[in-house]
Amino acid sequence: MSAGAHSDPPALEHAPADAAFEEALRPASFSAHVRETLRSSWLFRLGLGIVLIALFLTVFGPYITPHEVEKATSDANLAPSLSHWFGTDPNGFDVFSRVLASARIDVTIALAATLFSFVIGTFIGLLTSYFRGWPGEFVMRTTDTVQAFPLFVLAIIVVVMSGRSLRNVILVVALLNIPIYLRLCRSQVLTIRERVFVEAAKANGGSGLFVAFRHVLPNTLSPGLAQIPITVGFAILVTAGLSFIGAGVQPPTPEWGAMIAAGADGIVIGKWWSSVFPGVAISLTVFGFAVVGEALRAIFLRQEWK
Amino acid sequence: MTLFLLRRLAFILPQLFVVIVGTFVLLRALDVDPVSKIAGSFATPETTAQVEASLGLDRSLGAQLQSYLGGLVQGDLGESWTTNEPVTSEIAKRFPVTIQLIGLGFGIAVLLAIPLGRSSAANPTRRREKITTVYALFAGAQPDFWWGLIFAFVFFFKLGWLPAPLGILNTGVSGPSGPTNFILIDTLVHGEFDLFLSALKHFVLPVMTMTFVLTGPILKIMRQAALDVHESEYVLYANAAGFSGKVTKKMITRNSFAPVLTVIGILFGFSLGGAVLIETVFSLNGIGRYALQSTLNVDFPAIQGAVIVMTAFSLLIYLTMDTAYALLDPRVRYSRV
Repeated sequence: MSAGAHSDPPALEHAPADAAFEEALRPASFSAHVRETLRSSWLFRLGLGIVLIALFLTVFGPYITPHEVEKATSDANLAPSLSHWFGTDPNGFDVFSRVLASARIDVTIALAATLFSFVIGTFIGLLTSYFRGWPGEFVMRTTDTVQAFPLFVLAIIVVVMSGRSLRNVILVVALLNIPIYLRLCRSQVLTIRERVFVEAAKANGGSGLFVAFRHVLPNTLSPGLAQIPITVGFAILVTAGLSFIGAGVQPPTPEWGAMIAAGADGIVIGKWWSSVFPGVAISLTVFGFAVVGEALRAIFLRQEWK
Repeated sequence: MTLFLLRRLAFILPQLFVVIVGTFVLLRALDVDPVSKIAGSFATPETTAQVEASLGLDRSLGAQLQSYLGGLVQGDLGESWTTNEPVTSEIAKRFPVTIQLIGLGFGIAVLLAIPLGRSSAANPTRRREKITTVYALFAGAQPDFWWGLIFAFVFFFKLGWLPAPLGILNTGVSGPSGPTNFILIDTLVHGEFDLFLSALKHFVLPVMTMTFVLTGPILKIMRQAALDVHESEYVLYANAAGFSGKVTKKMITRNSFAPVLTVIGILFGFSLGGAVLIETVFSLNGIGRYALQSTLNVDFPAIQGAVIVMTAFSLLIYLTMDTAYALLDPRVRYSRV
């Protein structure tokens, strides 16, 4: 993920004044820092382990399920047993199989939405902050106004009314997160554009766009990159939340939030398993992504993370 | 200070206006047809036209917006297309439920997280730091609706300590009417203490759920802010100059509050809509569920009303936060717009 930004440090010949920053861009020292954090922090190892399992299930989850995922059977509400490890839900679906298969939906939506908001937010942030003038002001005012909306309700409205498809959920979750990346990028660009190496690049005759993308952009990415895992986690929560209230992914597609909703009525009469297991999956996955994000942020800032 | 407030207001009112117009236009731009939903799929063209006219959708967008805004300035949010009740009075019943849930949830979360964060920053042992970090990260990354179900399972089904997650009072019992629609206030006003206790018990689990997920981010930012101030040069100076611990402590509290207030404001704005999840789990008739049901019913005036009230309220909260911020830090009063 971050390899691209680090394996090819551009423009170091116009060395930035900030030694720590320069060091952060050097590939060897970045991976050394990751290794160091891996060695010293069990929390980072745990988080990374969870994220890797989640990514593995995203790719292979649907192929390794012991039962068919979208085939209802007459065995409804069976308690966990040897043949159904996590029991069956009110529709007779095998909960274990669906928990495994759901990662494909939840994590894919979250990754796609996050990537989308990262790219769009950074792009707009870079262009409107590097070049002075009214567009920057306009975009920031618009962002403020979008954030004045009750965002979760806005998401419900747009998804329900434009159709509860995967594509619409991805777009809405992405929209929710664009302001974060826009702000992160803007705050970086506003300081970077005043630096000597940018002035040097301009003096060398670089055009505005060339300097913005080749010299400023690579130096503004770290905070945004460290934010990615955190946004992925948040996006999983939003996707599951939308599906839980019926405004997201629709059953019988396996999705953690919708699975919790399917078991919600059973939980107050003691049939806990169809809601509990998908919830554990969300809880651990989002926690894992949050831990990795926090650790990455510390690594980018060259701080120790215990 | 007055100038500061006026400047902030000049900034907030246009935002509210854009949200109102934006919601209005967005609903009509989305690919959804309220007329066929209300008239039914077997309606004749005449009925369809009649329904369209009665909803006002046969007029141009500008004309619709104009009459809507005309009503809005008089506090009239129109009539719901599903219940034919005035949206204003429906929201007046629903909004207090959400405010009580969020208000209690935030209140308790702040009361817990601030002293914890401060003491963990003031006296950072490795063990304590670790526990705070892990807890804050974990609680901040949790699906609140799922924890609500878990709490209901444990405290209602297993232990039987608290009532079933089926609303604000026992089924079949109705609360007092008026004057504020805040059940925790109205029951006291009418002197019905049994109802007050019952409502309070019904609020315990939803509030606990909300508090749990909120303590994460608040604790994290409080700890970070307090640490930053602890390591600042002016605290070093104050210590070196021999100020008493009490003075420095006050200094730290005062100066670490600003980022905490910002985070609380943002969380509050999001929770107003996000509360729909907890409201759904505990069958609370709050404004989040109102917005959800209205969306499912394609009930434009009700959706608009809910969005406007939520936006106005969160802008009011941001204004309060900014004011508190300015009161805490004199530098802000003169520099920021």
